[in-house]
Amino acid sequence: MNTKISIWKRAAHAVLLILVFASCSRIDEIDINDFDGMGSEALQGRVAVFGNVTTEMRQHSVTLTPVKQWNESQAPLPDINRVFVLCGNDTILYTEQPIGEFAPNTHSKTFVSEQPFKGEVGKTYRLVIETPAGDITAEDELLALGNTDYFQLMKDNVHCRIYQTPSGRTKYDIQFPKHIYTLSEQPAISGVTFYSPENIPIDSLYFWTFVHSDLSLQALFSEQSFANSYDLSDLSREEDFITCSVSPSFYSFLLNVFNESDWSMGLFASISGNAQGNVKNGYGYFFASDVQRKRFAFNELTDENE
Amino acid sequence: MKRILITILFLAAFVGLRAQTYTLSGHIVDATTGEMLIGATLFEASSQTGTSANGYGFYSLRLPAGKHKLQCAYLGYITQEVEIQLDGDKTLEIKLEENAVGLGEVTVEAASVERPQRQNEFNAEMLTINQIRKLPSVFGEADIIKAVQMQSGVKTIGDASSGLLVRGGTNDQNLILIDEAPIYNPSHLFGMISIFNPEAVNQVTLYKSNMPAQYGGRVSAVLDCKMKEGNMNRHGFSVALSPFAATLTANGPIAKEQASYLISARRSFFDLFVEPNKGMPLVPTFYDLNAKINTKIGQNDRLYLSFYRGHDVIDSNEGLHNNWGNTSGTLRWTHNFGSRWFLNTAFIVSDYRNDLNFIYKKHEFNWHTGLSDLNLKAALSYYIAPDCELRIGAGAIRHAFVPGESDSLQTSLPHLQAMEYSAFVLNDWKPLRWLGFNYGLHLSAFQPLDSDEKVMVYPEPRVSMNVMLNDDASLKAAYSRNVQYIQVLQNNSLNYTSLETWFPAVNGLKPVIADVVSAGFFLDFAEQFSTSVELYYKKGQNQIDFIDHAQLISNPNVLSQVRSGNAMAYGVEFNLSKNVGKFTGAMSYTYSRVTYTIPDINDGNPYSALSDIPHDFRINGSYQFTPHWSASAAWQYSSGHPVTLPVGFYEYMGQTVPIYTERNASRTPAYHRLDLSCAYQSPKYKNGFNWTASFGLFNAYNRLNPLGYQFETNTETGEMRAFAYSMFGILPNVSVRAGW
Repeated sequence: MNTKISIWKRAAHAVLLILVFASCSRIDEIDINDFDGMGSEALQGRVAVFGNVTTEMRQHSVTLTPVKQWNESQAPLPDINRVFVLCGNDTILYTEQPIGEFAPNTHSKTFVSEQPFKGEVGKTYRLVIETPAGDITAEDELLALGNTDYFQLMKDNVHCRIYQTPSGRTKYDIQFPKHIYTLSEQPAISGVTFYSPENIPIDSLYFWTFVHSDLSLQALFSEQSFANSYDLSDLSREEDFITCSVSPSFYSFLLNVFNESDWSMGLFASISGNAQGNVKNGYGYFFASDVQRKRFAFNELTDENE
Repeated sequence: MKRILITILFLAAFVGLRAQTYTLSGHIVDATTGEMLIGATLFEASSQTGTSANGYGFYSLRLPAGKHKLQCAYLGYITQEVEIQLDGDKTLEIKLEENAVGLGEVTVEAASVERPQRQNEFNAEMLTINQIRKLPSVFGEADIIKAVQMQSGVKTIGDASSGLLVRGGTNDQNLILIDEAPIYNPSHLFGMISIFNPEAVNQVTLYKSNMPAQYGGRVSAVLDCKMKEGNMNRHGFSVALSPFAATLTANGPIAKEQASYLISARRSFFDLFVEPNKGMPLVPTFYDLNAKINTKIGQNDRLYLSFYRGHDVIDSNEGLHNNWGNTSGTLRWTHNFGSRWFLNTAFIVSDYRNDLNFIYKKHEFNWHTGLSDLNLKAALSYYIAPDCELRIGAGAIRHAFVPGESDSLQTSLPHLQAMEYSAFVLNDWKPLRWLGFNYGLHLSAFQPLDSDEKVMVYPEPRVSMNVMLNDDASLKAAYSRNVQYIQVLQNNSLNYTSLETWFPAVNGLKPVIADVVSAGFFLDFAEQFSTSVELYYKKGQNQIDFIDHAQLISNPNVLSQVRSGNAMAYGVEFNLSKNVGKFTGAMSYTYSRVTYTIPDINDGNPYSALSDIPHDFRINGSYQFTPHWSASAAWQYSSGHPVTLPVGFYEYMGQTVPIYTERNASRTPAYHRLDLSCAYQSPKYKNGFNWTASFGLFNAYNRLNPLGYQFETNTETGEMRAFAYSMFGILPNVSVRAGW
């Protein structure tokens, strides 16, 4: 009899809990038109700029992407008359690159310097994009990269898993931590890092990436960690890391780009605000970086499955 | 200061000499339990003279020699007529019988005796636990904070939050007291349930912006909650069960009519049935313990010892562990010096702790914050004349802050200590039958310890005036200045609370100063209805807000994320209520605006504060079908709250970056919700046993009221999609309470 009562009580309580929690924490798609104040700023014809000048001898590029209003899936780029970079008395002209088959965004345009050149530490580079509506400009000083000798990929920081694909090929799954330097061991909740750039010495400010992925932000600020899958038969077992110096304002910009990309409104979320770039009459950041490369051998890793 | 004191004493002496009178004094208590009836009124109709029991149940009334017929009343109690022959100072304990069938016709006179029109205090709302029990609840738990949120001028954001945004203030600008001890986080379950256990609470008074001079330390409101004292005559027990928690309460005499005790414990069930898993990523647990002892020592002394401890634990399936809680204790001594002097002295300890632990990539991360207080204070009341009370007092609080501490020194903030001193003088005086004043001065000082910073001293004048147009109508006006030396640094834009980090006015963080003027018109009509219109204008200095991207947790430069500037709030509140009869209810509409102007935020331009919710309409009603069955409903509608949402996007290094316009420039859709409940109250059986059962529906028409938002790009179309997170849909609840 007691057992029956106990079961009944538990069942009743379970029903109540189900009722309660079934109605909790609902996620529903909504029409943003219901919000007041949306689209109050005209963003039509605005451009986001991604471009850089580094200390490596190469053709440098500037990519322009259209800014979209919240309810637009596509937006056109404005006409571009001319793109060039000024440094002292030098003018470096850029020309539009034809859209490639694998261009990430067919609505973006990439401009490449007509000649290879390399940036110099201490100089200021000014990007000018001439449009019929006026010039879009940005400038950045090329800062020297600090000592990065301690920048090592430690086995403890890199998680590796080697596995066979169904087709019988051997693959490496490698996860790199978010920040691999002495001040990097900052934990995170829901993708929000708990530190601010001002806590980090300026000469420790840099970001890094892999050579094959160009300057991809995910290598620095991926939400959990940077994960990549390497096909042993396609890639060598070595990889180059590029380390780039950044100014404090660019570091803050990158950090805010990452944090804002979450749109999280949870308990740990930071206050929403624009990532302040250095582009006048546009968005994004044009930066100058001192660059170093380091080679990393995959065979230093051990399979965690073992 | 000296001049003010001399003037007050002179006026007091003048008033005291104006008639040959004697003093009737004592306590007004519940006839069954001996519980003090705070705010109960005593009224002499022929001379239109009256008083009310103070926060400790004590009254003192000066009357001419001779025979008097007095009416003693308290809401929910049967009005009692007392005949008395005064030929000298006299002490009288008045015992009122509770109206067993609830609020019936018997209490019509009770409600009409002490009305807002007669009170010199302004913007004070008193709620008894019986009134609170009549309102629909969220989880079957009668909740004091939720009841306070139904008052006009009080706003909150989201479903079932314990936040109180009073007349443009923020959550941390409310002084929340439980038996005079401050509570620094009044939330269980991130705010879904408040820490006030209804079985242990007697009544609560909310002062909106115009606080009497005895209160200090916050700029928006005071929520003064008094615990029950325990039955002086017989032992009683009660059990209350709701879907989320169980409460056990015992109270009774330690020595009959001399000393009593109360102990009440409440605990949630969640962790007994579920463990954190993918389906239930967070499992919350909470408990409360309230205990109180009070004893009479002779005719003139009473000693009280109150204790509260509440604790929350949140465990997640990803290793996150968050626990927080408040602990407080109050040792209080009251003493009557004759019939006209009343002294209250209290020693108070209060402690708030919040610990966050989680594991990230095999590293354990800990973060702690908290605040501990030691508080000694005393207040002396002198009942000069029937309508003139002088009150003076002083106090000192030693604050010890742990603003943020982790295992890493790089991310820890140093501990801080400070002394907060206060003194006040207050005169509640009716020089004419139609004219009354409640005026005084609160003088506060703040001294950071272990620091070279100077002592901050601020005089805070408070004054309110009451002009009675006739017996049913009055005009009131008030001005007050309030100063707040400690503030919460919390970086979420929601109204759910748990990670409060209290920080003192040091290292550039200035105290918040608020000046409030308000005016109101109060009218009773048709014998059953009360209505009022109140206006207020509030100007704040040193109001803090956070810069874009501010990160406040584990940031050793936390103050670099904070800016301060001006706040401005204004509003008008309309109220209509019916407090007597089978049908009781209230309706209110508030129009209000709140803006901040803070350098470095929103380019220094004015912007809407989180509490800028212009329109707010509430209506609730309760109908007593029979002495045993009642039903109630509450509906509220309010404008959406300001929110900073992206208006556009661009791509940068593989990330979709949002573009915002101004801070809080967007506004969420309107909030509205209907709650329903019905209750059965059994008759009181001979052995004293009685029980009640209530059934409720929270959010009866299943309205989606968003709490947060997320935007995602549709990878196929490139379109942006918005998703809203809401806390609750329709939520049924059942609760049962039985008592002896």
